[in-house]
Amino acid sequence: MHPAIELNQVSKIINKKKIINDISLSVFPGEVFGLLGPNGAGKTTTIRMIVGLMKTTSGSIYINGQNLASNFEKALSNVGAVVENPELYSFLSGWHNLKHYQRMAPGVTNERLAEVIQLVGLNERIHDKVKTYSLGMRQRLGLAQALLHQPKVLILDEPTNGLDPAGIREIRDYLRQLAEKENICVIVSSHLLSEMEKMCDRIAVIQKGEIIRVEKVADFVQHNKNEWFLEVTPAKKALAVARTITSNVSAEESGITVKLDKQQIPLLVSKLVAAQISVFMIRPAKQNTLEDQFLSITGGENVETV
Amino acid sequence: MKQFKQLVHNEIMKIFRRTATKIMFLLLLTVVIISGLVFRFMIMDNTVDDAAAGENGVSINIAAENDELSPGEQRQLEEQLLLQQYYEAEGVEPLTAEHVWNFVIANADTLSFITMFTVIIAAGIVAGEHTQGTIKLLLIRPVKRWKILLSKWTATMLFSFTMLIALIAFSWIVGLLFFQFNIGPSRWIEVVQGEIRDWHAGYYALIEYGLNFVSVIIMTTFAFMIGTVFRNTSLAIGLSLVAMFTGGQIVYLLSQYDWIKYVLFANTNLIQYVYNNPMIEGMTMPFSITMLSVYFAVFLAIATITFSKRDVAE
Ligand SMILES: Nc1ncnc2c1ncn2[C@@H]1O[C@H](COP(=O)(O)OP(=O)(O)O)[C@@H](O)[C@H]1O
Ligand SMILES: [Mg+2]
Repeated sequence: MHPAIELNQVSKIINKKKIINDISLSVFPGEVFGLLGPNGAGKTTTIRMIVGLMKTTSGSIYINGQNLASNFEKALSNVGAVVENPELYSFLSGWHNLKHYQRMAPGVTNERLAEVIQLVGLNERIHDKVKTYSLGMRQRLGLAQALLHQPKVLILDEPTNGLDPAGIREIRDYLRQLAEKENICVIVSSHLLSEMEKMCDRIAVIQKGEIIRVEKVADFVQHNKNEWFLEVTPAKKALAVARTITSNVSAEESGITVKLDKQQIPLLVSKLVAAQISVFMIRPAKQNTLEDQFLSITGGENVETV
Repeated sequence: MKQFKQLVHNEIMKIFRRTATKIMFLLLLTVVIISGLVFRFMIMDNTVDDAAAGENGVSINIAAENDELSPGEQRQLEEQLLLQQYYEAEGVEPLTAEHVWNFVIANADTLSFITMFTVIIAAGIVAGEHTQGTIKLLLIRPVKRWKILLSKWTATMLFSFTMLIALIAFSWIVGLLFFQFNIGPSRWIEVVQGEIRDWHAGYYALIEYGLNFVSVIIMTTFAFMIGTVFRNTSLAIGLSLVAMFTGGQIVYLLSQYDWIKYVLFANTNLIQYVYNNPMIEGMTMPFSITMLSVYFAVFLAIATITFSKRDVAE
């Protein structure tokens, strides 16, 4: 399968500062791909380069096989996007905003226009001025303009910003549906980890302008599977005992966390009991969500959690 | 081409659906009405008096021979005499002060309002998209940037042209209403460099408005360039209007230098050539048109290049 989007060693230097450092990515049709990183990591900058708002300093970008730099119009005709907030013409109605974008892409029929309005649920307010819209409605209108020309690639920068939980759920389901039913390549960025976990098939963790890992969400979450938390006293002594079995041990507030195969737990418990340590509880370590993963990867900088 | 038409359509929509634009047209109408009132009740009364005084051709004749008069006054009197003789010989009436065409012609100064309004539109048409952030969704379309920019310039010009038509129409209507539907003989007769020139008043008005409109185009393109390059509407409006109101003065003050004829404002007042009386000796209409074309091309080129190359990052 050919990638819908391909970034080859893309870098961006602004004012002599390297904002994006040698990013390479391939994203495929039918997948929801997440760009995950703390504020200032370079998610928006990466997206701006993909949609042609910024030029790359080095490297190349292909959209649907078309080189963005040399074949701008062809490449971009496959892309729909919202970059940061959906800033629309507030003095125009939602309808006139969409007419505006309809005129800028060839082959968008009035039927398609009506369909998209229906899809994002703006029928009743479409002829009102955008300045009277709530943030949620603006997000919907933003989505509508991105979908208008039936793009093969949909890029949404922080799409859940400012939405209530119901709205977030709705957009999540909708994006999954677009990928699965219409084989669209969906790229979303977020600093909200719990969101990405539920929405994406694959995630790239981006930090300080570099991609530090790209993985399937399933694998991502699996990583910490064999970690266990033991509530024990005295914890210090328990730590020493556990070290005789594995080096992957750390002290916690009211116990220890160890990393070892499930089969070895009875052995550890018997050793602890033999050493006169009280064992109150054993459970899988809590640190197995993407969020914790992410915090440990990025060192917890500037991360907002839900 | 179809795509370009669509782009211009978009820009026109964005200009004309703003409340500010509607207010501009109302203001223009107000200005014409005020001008009509002033003309009707102040200037016209005076000119009627003048006309009565001038009726006595003999007195002019005598006065012209009187060497107490300054050379300027003397020339004026000679020109009046020449006109008088022409009217009698041709059997035509001079365009009366209360004639509609006279009002339309006198109203050509109102064109500076059009310059002002168009400068405001031109200054904001790119810069405004940047400040409102709408530039992002505009530029991620499968359209080359220079086409978008050119469509914005074209729409600005169409706006300006619409204003021009509106101004002429308003002047006509107000003129008809205020001056008793006087559309009788309509010749515009003047003495130019000692010779009689007899034009149809409509033709004269067309030339006058047309030549003034050239300076609207060039000032507007200047504002458009500043707005595009600096992404700042107020700066573009300010610079353009200051340049417009002081440029002519400065050129006048420095008119003894030869290089001044290459300055934009030495060339914007094309009407001076209709009177064969350029401010700076030796300047000609073709020279000024060439200079204006060069400035115009440079302004548009600078705007297009910066707009096409720019990283949109706000
Ligand atoms: N136009 C710009 N000029 C200078 N620095 C910029 C510009 N845009 C972004 N940056 C810097 O680039 C980094 C990445 O920004 P951004 O891509 O917006 O991050 P994110 O979207 O991941 O929060 C930040 O450190 C930011 O300060
Ligand atoms: Mg961002």
